Amino acid sequence: MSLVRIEGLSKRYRQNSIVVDALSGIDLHVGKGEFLSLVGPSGSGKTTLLNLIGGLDSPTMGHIWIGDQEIGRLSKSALSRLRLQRIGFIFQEYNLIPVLSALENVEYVMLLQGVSGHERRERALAVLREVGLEDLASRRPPQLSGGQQQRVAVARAIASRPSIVLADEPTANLDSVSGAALLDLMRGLNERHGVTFLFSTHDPMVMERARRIIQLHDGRIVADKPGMGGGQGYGP
Amino acid sequence: MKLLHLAARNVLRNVRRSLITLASISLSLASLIFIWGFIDGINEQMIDNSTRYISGHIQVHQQGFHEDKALYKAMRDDPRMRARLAALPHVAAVAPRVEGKALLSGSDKSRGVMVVGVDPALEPAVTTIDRAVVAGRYLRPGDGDTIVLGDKTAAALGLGVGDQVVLITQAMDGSLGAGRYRVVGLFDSGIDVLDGSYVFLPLEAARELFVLWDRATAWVVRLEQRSRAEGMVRQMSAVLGPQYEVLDWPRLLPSMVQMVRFHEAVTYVVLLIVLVVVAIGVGNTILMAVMERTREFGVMMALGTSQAQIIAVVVAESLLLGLGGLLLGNALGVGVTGSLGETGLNLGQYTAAMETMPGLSGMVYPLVRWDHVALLSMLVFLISLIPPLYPAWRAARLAPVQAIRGLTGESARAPRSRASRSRLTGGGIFWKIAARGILRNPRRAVLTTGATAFGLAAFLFLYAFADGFFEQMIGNSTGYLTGDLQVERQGFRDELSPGLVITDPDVVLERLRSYPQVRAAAPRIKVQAMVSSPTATEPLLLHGVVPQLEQQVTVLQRALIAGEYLSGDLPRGMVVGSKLMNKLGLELGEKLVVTVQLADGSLGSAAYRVVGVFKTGNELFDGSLGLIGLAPAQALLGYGNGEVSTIAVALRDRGQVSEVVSGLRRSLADTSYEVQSWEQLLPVVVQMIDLTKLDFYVVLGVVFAVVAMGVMNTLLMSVLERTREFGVMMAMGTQPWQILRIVIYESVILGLAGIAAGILMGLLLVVYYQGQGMNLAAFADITEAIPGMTATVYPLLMPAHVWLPTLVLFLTGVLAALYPAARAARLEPVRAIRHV
Ligand SMILES: Nc1ncnc2c1ncn2[C@@H]1O[C@H](COP(=O)(O)OP(=O)(O)OP(=O)(O)O)[C@@H](O)[C@H]1O
Ligand SMILES: [Mg+2]
Repeated sequence: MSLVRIEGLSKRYRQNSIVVDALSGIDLHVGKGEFLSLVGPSGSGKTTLLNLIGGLDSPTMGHIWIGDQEIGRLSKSALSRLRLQRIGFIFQEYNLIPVLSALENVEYVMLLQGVSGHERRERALAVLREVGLEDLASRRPPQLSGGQQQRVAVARAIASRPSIVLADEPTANLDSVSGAALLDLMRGLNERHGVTFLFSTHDPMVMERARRIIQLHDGRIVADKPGMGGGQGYGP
Repeated sequence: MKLLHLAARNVLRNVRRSLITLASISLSLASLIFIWGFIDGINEQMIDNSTRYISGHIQVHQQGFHEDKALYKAMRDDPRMRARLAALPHVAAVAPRVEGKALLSGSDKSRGVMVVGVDPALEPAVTTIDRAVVAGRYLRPGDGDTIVLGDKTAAALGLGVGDQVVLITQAMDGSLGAGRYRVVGLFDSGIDVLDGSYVFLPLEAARELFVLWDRATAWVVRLEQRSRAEGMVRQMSAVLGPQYEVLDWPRLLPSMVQMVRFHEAVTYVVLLIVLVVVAIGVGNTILMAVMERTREFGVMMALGTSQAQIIAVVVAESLLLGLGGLLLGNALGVGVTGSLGETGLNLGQYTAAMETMPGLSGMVYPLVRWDHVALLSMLVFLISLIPPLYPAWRAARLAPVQAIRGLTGESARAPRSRASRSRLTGGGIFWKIAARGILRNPRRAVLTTGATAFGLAAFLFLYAFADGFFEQMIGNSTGYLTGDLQVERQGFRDELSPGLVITDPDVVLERLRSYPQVRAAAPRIKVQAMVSSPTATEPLLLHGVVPQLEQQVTVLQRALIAGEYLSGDLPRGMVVGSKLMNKLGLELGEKLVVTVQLADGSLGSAAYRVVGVFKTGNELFDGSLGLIGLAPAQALLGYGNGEVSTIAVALRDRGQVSEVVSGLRRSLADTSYEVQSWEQLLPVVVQMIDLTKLDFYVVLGVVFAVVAMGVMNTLLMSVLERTREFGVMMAMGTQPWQILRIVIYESVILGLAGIAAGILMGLLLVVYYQGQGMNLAAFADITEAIPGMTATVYPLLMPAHVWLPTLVLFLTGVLAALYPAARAARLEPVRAIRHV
């Protein structure tokens, strides 16, 4: 069974009299353990799609299932709980709560989940070690570089053991070396722990590392092919 | 022009922020205009009513009469001279008067009054007391021995229209003058002094009483405009020559002018505090609105905008907002004040307190004074222009890249590696986020905390000042005069009627002494009297006391400045206040004559020798109080041995008074005696406390509004600033109510910090002045006229009085956080994340 199942998904934005069809008729299945990249020109609908999957926004038409839950039917607070338990988010920038240290940021989600103090601390330190930031655990975000901040964001996203991590242009603000390092890190986590990643990008380097690439254009899927990072395509 | 255009766009771009700024400027200005208008209205009414009802705008006397109002200094009432005055330009009317003091007696009670003999035909053109007649009629030309009384005088003596009264006085020639008059009318001016102690006779009747044939003590002048008084004084003096003195109303009513000045001084202090609190509040709002845009300025600079241009844009924006606030604030403030000036503001519950002030009634008509409105507008406008310059100047000096990064202040701080070893716990995380969220913008937090703290400190200090003031009034009044409570016959208080006596004081004293709270009790005789020296007659509050017992209840003996206290060795000795001694022109050891009305209506009098003079520093005590032995007093009043009029009681602790009073009332329920606590014995003190509280509520209201505004602005801005952050937190599964908690916690922290700082500041001020005492010597004339007051006030902070306002202040801050908190909680995650 697919982890994420999308059927006939459309999103229409209306601003004053201008109507924008950000997404129209998207069908997509994402399986467990995939490492999947959304690509396409600016304005093609990548962010919109990720937001809809994460339950941050609601579709105009169509359905999304995460596991066996259809997210269109969930209340606001049920959506909150779904995000808390099953989804990790990484954004392009300003991901972290600036007043909390790296460690506390990672702990934060587990704290909301109700993970007990000792286990939380152990797991957070383990994940930070995994992303190579053990030594910087007590620093606050403004004292970390952009690449380090994104690694903390990755650590935080996986620490809560979500079913899927959604990342919207996670490398866009990073130089190519840090970007590559971040992707290797995510890829490693994908391989070692089977964490499912779904991320959007403009970056050819990212595409190189993806195992499956979905190409969007004007709100439609125009291609679904295996990436250069190995693995096979997953046809609709 | 381009610049102004850009500024206008900016103002319109963030409508909410501009509205907050605009509202804080205009509401502050409007409330300042109202407060000042309210106080100007009270002052104007005091002057207007006092001149209109009694003094007129100008009075002419024989030279020297004003200094020493001896009747032999009355001038000849020359009709041609009066006509010359009336013919002068701007003079509306002139009327002759004969004024003097006398003892007014009804059937069995009496009181000292001011007798005003008026010409019934001319007087109504000068003063308007005739229009305040509420029963019967005013004096008419051709009236014989008739009298018009104030309603309070009539009620106190149990008199009505048609009753007969007797006036007794010392006439001009030193003889005892007396006359019998028929009450034809009662007036009610709403002003205590007039209604309670002024009586009006036809001019000829007054001349007969005082033996002042062909004479007048004063010519009273009304002008077309009161403001011309000063100029007209010079003109009239020139016409009249040096044997006359011409005085305008400020010199005629010096104590009222003092009262107005005192009130104005209090006003300036209150206005200053309010202005500073408002300045901090408004400045804070504007400052934050500009600081929030540091990033934007960075981008503008990156695009090639010069520093000067950035400052210019900010100034232009502040000008627009300031002018808008000025227009709105003036419209609102002048509108509200002006319309209340028409309808009047009914302070029903403070009526009693207001009416004791000269010229005031329970209705206040706020007054819009354009000079004050202009001054306030200018100040508020400046306040709104200056604060934004600072952040604009700072932003303009930054390198663009720093500005674009924003001024979080966080990046500059050194890493604190150990800090976060502390464990996160369930609710703790939200407190932690809240506390650190506040510290992220320390300047803003300090501003908000400072506004709260200053407002609270000002309030605490004012309250402590007032409590010290009241404590002194109460302490001195009970300590020198009344004791903590008194027992007397029912109805005795109303007019100190000599017929109402306690016949078995020993039984009552026995019962009183059985209370453990009672420290001492002393029997007394108390009566209204007239006291005469060879040169003057003055009203006197005569006490007959048992020296040994009295000294345990009151401490007047400590205020002796000459001679000694009463003792058994000096049966005809009397202790007199220093001011009264001056008025009577007496020295220690000289004789004086006391005249009283006895229970049967006849007069009794006796001579005493001054054995001691006391000076408490208070006008009322020093100017009207005299003590003789109990036995001589019983002899004077024709009382039987053992009969007294009151028993004064001192408690171990004044705080127990209500407890003791209610116990005593039960125990005396089967007798015709009643128990009066000091609150009932000193109604003026209680009324002054009420009036002062009114001022406090105004200050408190402003402080609350400013604190609420400050906390709300701070949190609103910090919420808007963190929109994206909240979006990310929501994306991670944080529930809206958890976000709400964070914002509320922030307000709790801000509020607690502000209150702690405020209490500290307030305490420091209070403690400093407690050691020092605040010297009000400049207002000595006024403070000394208040029962029990002297010119030095020691502030006293009473936690019982301030804990509730402090708590409410704190809750106000937390409540003000609800809006920004709700806004944060209602954020849509997608929008929040898109927001940068
Ligand atoms: N809140 C909104 N209101 C109106 N239109 C929107 C809104 N959000 C997105 N759009 C429009 O929907 C379309 C898709 O936007 P989306 O942000 O998903 O594109 P994207 O592929 O993520 O682009 P980029 O690569 O630039 O991030 C765009 O045309 C955009 O203008
Ligand atoms: Mg996008």
